Amino acid sequence: MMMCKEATRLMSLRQDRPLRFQEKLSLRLHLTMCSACRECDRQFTLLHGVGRHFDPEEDDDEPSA
Amino acid sequence: MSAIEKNDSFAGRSGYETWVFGILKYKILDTMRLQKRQGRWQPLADENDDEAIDRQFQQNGRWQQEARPQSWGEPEAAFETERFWQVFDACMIALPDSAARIFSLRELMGLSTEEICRELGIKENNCWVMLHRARLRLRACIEQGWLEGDTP
Repeated sequence: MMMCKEATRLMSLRQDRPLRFQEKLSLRLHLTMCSACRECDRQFTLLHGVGRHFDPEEDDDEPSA
Repeated sequence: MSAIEKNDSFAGRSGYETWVFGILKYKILDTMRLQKRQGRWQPLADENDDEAIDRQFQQNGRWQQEARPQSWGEPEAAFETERFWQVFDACMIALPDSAARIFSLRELMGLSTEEICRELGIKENNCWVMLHRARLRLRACIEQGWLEGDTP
């Protein structure tokens, strides 16, 4: 049974490369049962969006309201 | 300073987040290029890094009670506030150099880990380990600053 620390490794990894089937399965199972890790996963995803959100070179980006 | 010289390219954009992004992007890249040229690039993780991460977890791999991630509210709403970017900036500065550098290359510059590793001559697995640690530290720091309203 995968624990939270290992789950965060996979959450981080999936921001950098697609997870393998087995990795995806273990992570999904863990996230179903662990609300703290679901928050962590949201936060990693949020952090992943930071650069894209404010890339000054993307001129066609809609200015934020 | 390069971030100020490059200020023109931010025309039409203003605000703290642009400033944060500009400083980080150019400062970190400049430093990295210089260090690489001088052969001083040290991709090794800081020694205290493991300890800082381990403190977030119990020995069995579960979250420590006080380190359990909590909701930050609506992510998009967070991006719109200046305070989020102040917290983010302070936390980036608080990160160990190597962690801040690799996080910036990946998440601010948008390079793939493959590109980062080719450029820096480190193994991709190292990249993933360092990014994992950087993200854990960053999320803990931001959460503290964001939810408690303290300067991290």
